[in-house]
Amino acid sequence: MGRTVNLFQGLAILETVHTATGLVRGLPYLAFLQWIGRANVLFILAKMPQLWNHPASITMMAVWAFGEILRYPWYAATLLGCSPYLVTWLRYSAPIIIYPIGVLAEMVLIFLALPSIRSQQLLCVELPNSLNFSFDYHLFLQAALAVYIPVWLQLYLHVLRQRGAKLKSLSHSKIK
Amino acid sequence: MKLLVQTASGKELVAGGIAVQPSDSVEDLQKQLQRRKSQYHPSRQRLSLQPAPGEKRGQVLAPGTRLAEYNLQEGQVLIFKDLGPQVGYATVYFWEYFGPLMVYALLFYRRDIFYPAFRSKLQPQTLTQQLAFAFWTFHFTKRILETYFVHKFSHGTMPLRNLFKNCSYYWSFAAFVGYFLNHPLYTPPGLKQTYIALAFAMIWQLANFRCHLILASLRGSSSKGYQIPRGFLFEYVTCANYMCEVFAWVCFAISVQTLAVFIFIGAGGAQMCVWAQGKHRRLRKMFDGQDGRPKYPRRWIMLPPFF
Repeated sequence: MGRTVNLFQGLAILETVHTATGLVRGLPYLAFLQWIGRANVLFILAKMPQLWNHPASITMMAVWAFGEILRYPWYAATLLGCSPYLVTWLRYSAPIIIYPIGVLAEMVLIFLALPSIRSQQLLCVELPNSLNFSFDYHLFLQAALAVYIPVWLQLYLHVLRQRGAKLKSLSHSKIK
Repeated sequence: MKLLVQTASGKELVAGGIAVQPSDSVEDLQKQLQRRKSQYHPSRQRLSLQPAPGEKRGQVLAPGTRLAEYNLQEGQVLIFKDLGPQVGYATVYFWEYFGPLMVYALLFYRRDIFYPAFRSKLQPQTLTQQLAFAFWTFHFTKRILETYFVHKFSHGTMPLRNLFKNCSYYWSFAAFVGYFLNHPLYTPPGLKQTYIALAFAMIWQLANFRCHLILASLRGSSSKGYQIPRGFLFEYVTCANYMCEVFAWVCFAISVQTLAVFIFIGAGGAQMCVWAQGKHRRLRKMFDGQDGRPKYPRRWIMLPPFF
């Protein structure tokens, strides 16, 4: 299952491309943030077989799956021209609960992986080298965890705002 | 005559409106508004006419113009928008460029503080590191001098939060680049590579300076009037100044062979591409060849041959 998830999450970079080219409404910057956050977690998970059966990773996968099950039918429906109210309502309301659970699961997984990353020296580049660059993945992840919530909040509030606007405009057209 | 001032939602901002003469300037109107509403300094006021049918936003009353130019009627409604606390363009530019000078110098001169693990075994900087310091200092000093003596800004102010945003960007990258360039374990590439690449970097810097002089000369006649940039590299590239800047930094990155510099210009270049695209579109829209206006010639946007 891991390979399938990795493949499709990798392909999800297209979401950033779609928003950037205007095919889909949205901010490329936010789409990219979400993609890179997930890619990061998946990368770590791939290197940590001991975490594969952990409740956090199962929760995270389930949450992502739920999210996509609700999102893509809505996209498809919109493109086909019909958007049943229930589909729209679910697509915008489910994230209210799903998103926080997902982000918590991601953070837990990263945190759990930290000791192993340090001992493995995963993605650690040391000086001196010909490009004069160094990178400490362990430190990077600690910094990432520190900013995870504020950054994720941008995405969350964006979806909430979208929801407010969308459902408001729908109720107006219903009244008409 | 009397002009009424409303917010976008239709609420009246000043009871009874403001009395003006057509010969008054927009600044006079703004100062009067400030006298009635002291929290709104003129630089944070944006006054515009109501949108005409089909328009999303009405025409803005531009500073530097007279009210007579807008054909205002007695009792006409102006829409007011608060642009938030503002800060001068030159102020922002100064602080965002001064930071990198200080940060890099700190890393260069006080390696004992920033690389504590090497405190006891610090060697003098390599020639390459000294050249890098010289180039970095030259570059940002040039930018500061251009801010005060060359650039002609389109606006007087920008939102205050830009000061913090811009300074964060420049100062953080200064620390990022400076950390690796001044590191005790820095390994220079061959001197031939350094000298040749640095020479090219300086050539592109001078080219960039010439581009800035050309751009400044465009703003001589009218306050907001755009003109088609001409001469030098502008014949081929709309944002030749950005192009020269990117090329200069890439050459510098090669001369010091440091990934951090490539990352820096990658980020800066991406932002410049966004700005360049906007500028190119604006100029093409404005100079469409109709009504006696010249047609904007075919040019690269910023980075030939792709963009």
